[in-house]
Amino acid sequence: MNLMQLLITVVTLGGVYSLLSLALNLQLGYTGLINFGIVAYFAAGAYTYVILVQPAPGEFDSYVFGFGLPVWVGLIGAGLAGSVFALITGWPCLRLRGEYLALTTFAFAEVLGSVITNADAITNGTLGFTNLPQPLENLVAPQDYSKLLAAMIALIVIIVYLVIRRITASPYGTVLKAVRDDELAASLAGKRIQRLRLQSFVAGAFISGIAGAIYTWYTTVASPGLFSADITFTVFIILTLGGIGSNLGALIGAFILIGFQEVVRGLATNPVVAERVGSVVVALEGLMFLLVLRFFPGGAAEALTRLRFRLTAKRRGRSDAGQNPDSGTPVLAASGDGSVG
Amino acid sequence: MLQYAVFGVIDGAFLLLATLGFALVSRVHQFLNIAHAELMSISALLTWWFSGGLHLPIWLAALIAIIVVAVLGLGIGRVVYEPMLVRGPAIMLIVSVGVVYLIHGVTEGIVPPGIKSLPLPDLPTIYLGSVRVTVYQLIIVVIAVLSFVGLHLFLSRTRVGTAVRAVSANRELARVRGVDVERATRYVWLIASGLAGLAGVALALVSTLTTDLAFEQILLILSVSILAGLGSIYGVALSAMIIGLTMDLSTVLVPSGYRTAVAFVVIIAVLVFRPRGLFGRKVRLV
Amino acid sequence: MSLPIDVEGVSVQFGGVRAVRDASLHVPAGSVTGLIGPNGAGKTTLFNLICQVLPPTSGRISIGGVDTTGMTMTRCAAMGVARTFQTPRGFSGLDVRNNVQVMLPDPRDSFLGALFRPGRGSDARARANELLDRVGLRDVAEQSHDRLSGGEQRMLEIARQLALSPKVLLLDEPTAGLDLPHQDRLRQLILDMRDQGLTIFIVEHNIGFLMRTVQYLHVMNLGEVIASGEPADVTRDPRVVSAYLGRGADAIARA
Repeated sequence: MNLMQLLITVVTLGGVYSLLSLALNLQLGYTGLINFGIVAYFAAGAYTYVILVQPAPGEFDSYVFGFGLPVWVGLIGAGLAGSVFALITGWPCLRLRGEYLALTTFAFAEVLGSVITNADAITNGTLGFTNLPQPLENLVAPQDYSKLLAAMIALIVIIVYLVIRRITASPYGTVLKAVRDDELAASLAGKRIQRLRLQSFVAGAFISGIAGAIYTWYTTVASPGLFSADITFTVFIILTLGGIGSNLGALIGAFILIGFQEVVRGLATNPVVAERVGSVVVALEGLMFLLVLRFFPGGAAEALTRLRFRLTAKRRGRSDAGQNPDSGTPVLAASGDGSVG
Repeated sequence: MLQYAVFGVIDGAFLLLATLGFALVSRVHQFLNIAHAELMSISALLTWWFSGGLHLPIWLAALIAIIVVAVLGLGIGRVVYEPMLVRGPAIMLIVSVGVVYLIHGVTEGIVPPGIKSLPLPDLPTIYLGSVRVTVYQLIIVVIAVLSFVGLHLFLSRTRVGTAVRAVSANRELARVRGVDVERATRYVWLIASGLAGLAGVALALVSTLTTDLAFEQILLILSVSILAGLGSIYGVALSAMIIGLTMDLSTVLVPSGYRTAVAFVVIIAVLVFRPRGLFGRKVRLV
Repeated sequence: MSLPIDVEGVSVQFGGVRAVRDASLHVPAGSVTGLIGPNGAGKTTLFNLICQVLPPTSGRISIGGVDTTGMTMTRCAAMGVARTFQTPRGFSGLDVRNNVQVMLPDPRDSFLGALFRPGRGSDARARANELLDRVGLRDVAEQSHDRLSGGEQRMLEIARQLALSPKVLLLDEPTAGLDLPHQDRLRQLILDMRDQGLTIFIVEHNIGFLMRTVQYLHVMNLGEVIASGEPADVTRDPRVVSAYLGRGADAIARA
């Protein structure tokens, strides 16, 4: 197993997932919205990008649309597609409590999945689109392209990370957290709860849409089989591992999980084992997920913060390690008593 | 047309069986245990393995499978779910996703691929007028009805059942009043998982088994439960019938590939317009 | 600036139980008024009614002369009614200062504001610091909410309500869990707030505290208001003494 190959895959695929994870962090970590339909916004972005960017259909193609627009238009279109779908699906159900919102977003995502599979004229049905062009592919030799792609994705991830950080570090981010922690108190303080939740939901979907477009750069294929509920749950596992509420944790979680998947796949050289390796990975992910949820709710981000405090405390000779202002994971803390008096 | 209606009733009976255990847990512990269907899957696969692989008589295979699944469900309930209950129903839903991954990964890893079905004796098909049913389908209906009645009797006539009802109404109050909460919750896990096991056997009686059946089942279970109203056990009977009939009668109009679509439409429609379902208590929005 | 509260013939029923029956009382604007009564008397329910957590089944509530019966909680809060709870509530994921600061209006707390004007320090932060000074929590401003003691969380809750510049403040058992020095501090804060023009209405079990703090006192028992007036008179009222008989009667006797 080639270390360079591993690194490239982790950066590329991990990069795509870290965008999804950042989006979920905004929705779940900061605003308390359980979005079980992430894959839908991802898929909407991917397909919209492909439709915008690919050339017009030839005489043997069964699909109808292809506009041949430049990549950056495709990316924006992808983000908008995610946002529009989020507006449609979010608006009726954002007032619902946690697990009800989860189920509704999940149901909407499956409906979109059905639509994608069946709307042949637009999406080319179960076949989907193949042989997709990759941006800047003419710039380097084919064997070096994966490195260029990884670099491009890394750049995009960094930009998105910085933008999200700016948003969440501002008073707006604090208001979102207040809405998450005590919606009643926040609304009595004059905050427009539904508007804030919708904004967070749509912003996260925008990023998920862009992630979808970027995903097609990596896979060069867009078909319904790629976009299953598995992706949604993988993002949840990633964010949990990294630390719900922490943007850096979103990135860390993505790289850890994708790295883990690739390492395990690489180790399974025996063909009998290789067949089962998928299930083993799934089982281990489930186990890790449960362990982190139970014992390390702050995820990797909290572990790192604790470590940093302990190290600096030693240097300063103080013993108040563990102090954690603006704790990142009250989402996982004991649910408060929401009753009034 | 009548044939479809009969299929609808049979499917409804099966859904009732599958959802009863789920509804029990959701009522008592206030959360949605997505892993319920995985237990069904385990039970079906165990029954297949014991009867097909180890050549045990089917009834014995089924019995052992149900017991195994009941105990497994109890274990998961005590070890994984109960310590996390304080975190709230939303987190519990996420936790159950983790359990699904764990169980699914293990099951898929152990079970050989390929289509499996139980080595069942060929029993005659019965004709009621123009309608055709197999004996196995009738067995399912009977099991479903017996389970429903049995659960009702358990909850209303036995001491433990009364304790369970007290705990589901108000856990702390029950504890203060001297109800043995630990014992009651143990029974809840056992019975709910046992029902899942029974549903798994029922499934194995009429269809071929794949490792993915849990996913489709849980969607239907969720829609039945949501339509009835989360927390409602008796309402599940009605909503299971409604969904069973809708699924099968709709194949008259719509290609049969859309069966699961019915589940989604129900979930969305109910949660958006009447979150408490038919019989549930008023849902506090957040 | 401050507003009076008028409760007229208010009743509310839960199932078969009438938690509040035909209760009437008046809280003068700018006063510090107390509400006492044995457990289950309906005091917190009355607070809930005044804040429109639930509507009364009969009767009328008005604040500053405006009929607020049946208003939504948010509208009632917008009128200037603030309230604390028996179990202190706060934003558990935020630190102390942010808990207060988030209650203040801020031009940067919109999505676009966050993207384009995220700069640090504005008068929201300074104002939050001021409020923390008033309740004595300035030195723990950076601490996470969950690390505060119960008494500190209570004071923080008061600071958060003050951030809304209310005209009426309802305090639900504010001294529970406070030691004597903190109780003195709380009293000082209450009197300060009154001097700044707030109407303060307090539900308490700690009768000694109220006697030294309030100008008027109401007593409830079994859902009814059984006495109202100046503290010294009310506590000698035989109905009040018998209501407390066997339930801390000596607290009344000592008061």
